[in-house]
Amino acid sequence: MNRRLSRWLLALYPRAWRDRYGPEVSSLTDELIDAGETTPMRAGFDLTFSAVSERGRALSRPRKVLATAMALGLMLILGFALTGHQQAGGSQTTWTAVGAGCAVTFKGHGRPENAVTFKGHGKPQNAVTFKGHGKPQNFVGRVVKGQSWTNVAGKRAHAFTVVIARPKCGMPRLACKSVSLVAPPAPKLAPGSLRATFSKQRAAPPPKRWTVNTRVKAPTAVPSCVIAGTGIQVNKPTPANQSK
Amino acid sequence: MRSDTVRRSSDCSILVMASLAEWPKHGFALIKDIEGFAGVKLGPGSLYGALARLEAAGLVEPLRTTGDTRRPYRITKAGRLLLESTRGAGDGLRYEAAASA
Repeated sequence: MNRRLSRWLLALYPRAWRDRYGPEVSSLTDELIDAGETTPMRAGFDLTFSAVSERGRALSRPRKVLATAMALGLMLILGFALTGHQQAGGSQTTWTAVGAGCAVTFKGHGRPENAVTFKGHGKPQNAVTFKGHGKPQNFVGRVVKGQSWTNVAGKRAHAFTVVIARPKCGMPRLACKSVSLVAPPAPKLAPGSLRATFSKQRAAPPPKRWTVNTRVKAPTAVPSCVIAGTGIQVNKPTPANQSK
Repeated sequence: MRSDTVRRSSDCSILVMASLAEWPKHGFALIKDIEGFAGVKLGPGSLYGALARLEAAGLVEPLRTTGDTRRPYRITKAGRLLLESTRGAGDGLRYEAAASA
């Protein structure tokens, strides 16, 4: 038999068996073929069937260990599947974050890579809808910023920055990921409805008072005469009128 | 020996023990001896599979050699006792050839 084929067939045996009996089997096979006691094909079949038998025996030996490992693997797979199903968006998860003086409650949906919708309460006390990206299971975060305020459809939205912490590892990883929570677009109003806009109105400035320092002359009496027969009164010419 | 009375699962081990009951042999000698008294031609894989099982059970043991791949094996006391008990029980096996040898 070809040595290469013999080595390949011996590789089918379990490693421990091969290390212990491999050289002897290889030598015996060559010896049998050289002596004409067997053919290479027959020896190859014999080695193959024996290898399969030894493999089966090696597997059945540590049956308890194998059964325990299989049970553990099954439990892991089941646990992963159940957890994954829960995270996959079948159920809604509520996350609570407390920080920066206001409490915010999130409700997350969907898979981690999908956008997650949150509802928040806090400062201001109006419910605000947020959109965020990230892993919802990691949204046990801290609200670290809450400064910018905007008017959206009559409600006050608050832009929060949430620092995501990973609850599993115990210690929150600050600045692991930040999510900017933005306000939803203003709803479309039906025609004829009143749109309320809120804006700061500046108080009107006080009216200015002007003081005039010109001297006002008293009216002077102009001599006049009445044209006879017409009744028209004509002022008498003054020196100023005459010069014109 | 009637080969039809021997079940395939254990006959190799019995044949090997019966052959080794005479004197220690290496693989090639075992095959030739078993073929001689039982008419069964074992392949190298079958023979060493049986030897491995017997050695793991403590029924046969290898003899120490110096760098030779033709390692001889011999039967242990436990193996000899087992072989004797198997013969006594009858068990459908006939060891006429081995006994005569």
